[in-house]
Amino acid sequence: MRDRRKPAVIKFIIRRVLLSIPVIFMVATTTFFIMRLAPGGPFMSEKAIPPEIMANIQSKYGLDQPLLVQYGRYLRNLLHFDLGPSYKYPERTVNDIIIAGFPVSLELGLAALLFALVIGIPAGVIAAVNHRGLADHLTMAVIFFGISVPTFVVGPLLIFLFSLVLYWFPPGLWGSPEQLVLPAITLGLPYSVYVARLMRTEMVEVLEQDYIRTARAEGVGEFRILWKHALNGSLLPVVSFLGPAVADLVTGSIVVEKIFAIPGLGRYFVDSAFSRDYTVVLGTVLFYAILLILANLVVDVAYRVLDPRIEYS
Amino acid sequence: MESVNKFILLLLAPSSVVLAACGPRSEYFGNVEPPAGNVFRFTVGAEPEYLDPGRSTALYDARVSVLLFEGLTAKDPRTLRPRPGVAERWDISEDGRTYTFHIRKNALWSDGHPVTAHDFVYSWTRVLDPKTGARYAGYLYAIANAEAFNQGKLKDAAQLGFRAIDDSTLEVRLNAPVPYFLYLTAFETYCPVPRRVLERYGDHWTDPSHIVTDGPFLLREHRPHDRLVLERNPSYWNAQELRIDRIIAYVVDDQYTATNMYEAGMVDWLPYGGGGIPPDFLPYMRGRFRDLKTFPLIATIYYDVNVARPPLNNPVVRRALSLAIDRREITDGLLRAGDLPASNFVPVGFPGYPAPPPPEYDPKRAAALLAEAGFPNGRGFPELEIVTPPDRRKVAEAMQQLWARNLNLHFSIHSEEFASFLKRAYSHDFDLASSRWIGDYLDPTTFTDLLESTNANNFSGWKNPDYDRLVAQARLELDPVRRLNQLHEAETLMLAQAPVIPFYTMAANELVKPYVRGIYPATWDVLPLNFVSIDHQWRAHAGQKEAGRD
Repeated sequence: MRDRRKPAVIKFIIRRVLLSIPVIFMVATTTFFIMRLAPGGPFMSEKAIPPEIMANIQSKYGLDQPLLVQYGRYLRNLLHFDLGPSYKYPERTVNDIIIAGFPVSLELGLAALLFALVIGIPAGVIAAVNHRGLADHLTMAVIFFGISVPTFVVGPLLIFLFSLVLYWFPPGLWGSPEQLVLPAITLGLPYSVYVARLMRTEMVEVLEQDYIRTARAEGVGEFRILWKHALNGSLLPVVSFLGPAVADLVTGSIVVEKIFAIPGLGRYFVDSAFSRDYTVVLGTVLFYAILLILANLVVDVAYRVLDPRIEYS
Repeated sequence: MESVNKFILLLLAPSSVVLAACGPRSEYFGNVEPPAGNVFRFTVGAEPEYLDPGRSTALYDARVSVLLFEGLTAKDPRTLRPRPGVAERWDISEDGRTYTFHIRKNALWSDGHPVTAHDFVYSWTRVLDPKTGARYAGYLYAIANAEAFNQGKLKDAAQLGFRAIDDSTLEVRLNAPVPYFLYLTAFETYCPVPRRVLERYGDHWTDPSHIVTDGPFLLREHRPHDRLVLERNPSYWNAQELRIDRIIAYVVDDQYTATNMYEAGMVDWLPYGGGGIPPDFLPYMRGRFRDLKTFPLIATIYYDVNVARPPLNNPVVRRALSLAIDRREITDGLLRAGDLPASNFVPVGFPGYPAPPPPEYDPKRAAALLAEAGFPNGRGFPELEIVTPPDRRKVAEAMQQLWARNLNLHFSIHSEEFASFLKRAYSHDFDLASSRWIGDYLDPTTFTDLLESTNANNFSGWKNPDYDRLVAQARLELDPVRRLNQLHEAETLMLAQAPVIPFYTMAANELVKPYVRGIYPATWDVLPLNFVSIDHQWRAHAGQKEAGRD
C-alpha cells in the first residue's frame, strides 16, 4: 500500500499543477481584455492633460502600441514573474505591492481564522452536549445572527462600541496587536459560526456512536469522554474546512480592509479596478487565482492523505 | 462601496447622536487628549501617487511634497502667498518677463550638498522632457519655449527659457508677464529634485532609504496605504521656524474611517480631502462642535452644458435653466455643508477681483425665456440627461426636481463611476455634465482659462472669439487693475451665454483638535506645516485666550 501511495500523490500534484497552467493563462487573458473594455484609462483625471503630454505618458508605458502587442509583452514579462509598474503608483512595481500587501492580508486572515476556531469549536461542543437544551438553542440563535449580519454591519458596530465609546481598540490602521483585534473579529465571526455549526452537527452524531456509549458504560468521566474521544472524532470536517477557509479569509477581507483602513492586498483588488490601474488589476487577480488553485490543491491532497478511500484520479 | 458606506452611515449617524446625548456633552468632537510627545498626526487621504514633486498631481501628493520639498519661493504657512524659499530674493524686469532668482547659500539637500541654480535647470528640464511624462508639465508653459520642448517640437534643451548664470543665480524668461509666477515657483512641479539620486535609483528614488530632499521635513518611513512618517530636517535653512519634531501622515481614503480615527483621538487634524468627513454628518456637526472648521475653497461646482446639442445650443434655453435653479435650496436645504450658493463661475477669494453678485433665482423669467425659445411651459422640450459621478447624484436629483417644478422640464439622471464619467465628459458625450473645478493658484485665470476655445477642460464645447480675445488681452496686460477688469468682463460675457451653469462655491470642512496650533484655512492649496505645534496645556490656556485658526 505505502509504496504505491507516495508516487500517486506526486503524480497527482504534478498533474494538477500542469492542469492549472492553462487556467492561469485563461485568467490572465480574460482579465487583460475585459479590463481594456472599461471606459477611461489609468491616466485620466479631472484636470485635463494636454494631448501631447498624454501621448508622452502613454508612450512611456507602451500603452500607445496595438493591444495585441501589449498583450504579448505582458505575457512575456509574466514568464519572468515581472508584473510591471503600477500606473497609479509608478514609484512601485506590482511585485512590490503584492509583497507589501499580502503579508498583511495573510496575518489578518490567520488571526480571523484563529478567532473562528477558538470561538467556534467550544461553542459547537457546548451546543452538542446540551443537544436540544437551553444552551443549544442560545448558541444556535447566536449562530443565526452571526450568519445573517454582514461584516460591513459588524465592523462599524464594533468600532462604535470599542473605539468610540470605550476607547479600548483603535478604529483602524495596522501595525500594533490592538489594531488586529477588531478587524480579526469582524472577519472571523461568520467563520466561527460556520465552525460551530460543523462542530455541533458532527459532535451530536459522534456522541451517539457505540464507542462513546461503551466508554460511558465503563464509567469514564464525561469531560474525559468529550476531550479524549468525541472531540477527536468530530474535528475532521472542521479540519477539511480549514483549507478553503484560509483561502477565503485571505482573499475575502476586502470589505474589512476598507472599513479599518488596513494596507492589505484586498483594497488594491478593488481600488485598482476603479482607477484603471491595469497592471495592478492583472497582478492581483492572477495572484489570487494562483492562491485559490494552491489552496484547493492542498485541500485535495489532504483529503486523500486523511481518507485513503479517495482515489487519485 | 457606495452601498457599504450607506449602511455604515445608517449605523453610525444615530450612534454618534446617542454618544453625544449620553456622555457629558462636549464642545469638541471625540477625544481631546493631546498626543504624547511633540508629534503631529493627520490623515492625508488616499495613498499619494507620487512623492516625486515633478510628477505629482493629486491633492494628497501635494500634502506630502509640501513637507519634503521647497521651491524658489515657498508658501507662507498662514496666507499661502509666496515668500522667499530656496531663493532669498529675486529681481523682476520692467516688462515682467524676466525673473532673476538669487539662491541662498545655506539652502542644502538632506545629503549635505548645496541647492544650486543647476538643480533647477535639471529639474525643470526633466519635467518638460517628453520622456518623463509629467502630467503637470503644463504648469511650466509660462516659461519661454517650454511648451514647444514638452511637445517635442523643439529638441534643444539649451533654448528653454531658464539658465544658471552661476551656482546661485537662476534667470527665467517668460512668454508673457505672468503676475502669479511667484505662486507657480512655490508649486511642487517647480520644486528641485536631486539629480544624482534620480540617476542612481530611477523611479524608486523616492523610497525612504534613497530619497534626498530640501524641504522642512525628512521622510523617515513610508508604509504604502498605511502611513508616512516625517521628521524635522535639522539642515533645512529655516529649521528654527519649525515647532514640531515628528509628523505622521496616515493614509485613509474612507470618510467614515478617517472620521472615526479623529473621534477616537488617533489624529489631530482631518484636513479637507484627508479622507474627509461624511457629508451626511455635517448637518449634525455644524454649530455643535467647535473643532469643525468650515471655509470656502476656490472651487466651483457647476454643470457643463453641451452647446452642440439642440435645444441646448440656444443660449436662451441655457439661461432659462440657470435662472430656474434655487441655489440656496441646494446648499442650505439639501447639502448643509457650508457651501456658498453662487451663479458666478470665478469664486470669491481672489484679491482685487470684483465680488460676485448674489446668486440669481428668477423662475418667472426663466419660464418666460423658455417660452421665448419656443418651449412654452416646457412643451416640445426633449427629455435630456444629466451625467454625474455618484457623489454628486443628490445634487442632480435636486436639479431634476427644480427644473420639473419651475419649467416643467424632465431630465433623467445617469450616475457613472468616476473614470467612466470623465471619459464621457472628455468626449463631449452628455447633455449636462456635473463638473467640479478646483483652482490651482490665487489668480482668476485658473478659472477663466477653462472656457477658452482651446482648453481641454472646456467640456461644454463653447467657443467664443470675444471671450478668447479678452482672456488673451489680459494675458499681456501689465496693469493689474485693468487686467482683472478684462477677466471680469470675459466672465460676464460668458455667464450671459451660460455654457456652464454654476451652482455653488465649495466649502472645505476640516476637523482640528483644540490643542493644535498653527493650522490656518487653506482656501486654494495645501498648507505647509512649518508653524504647527501641539499645546499640551491647552485646557489651561483655553481659559486665557482663544488660539488656533481664528
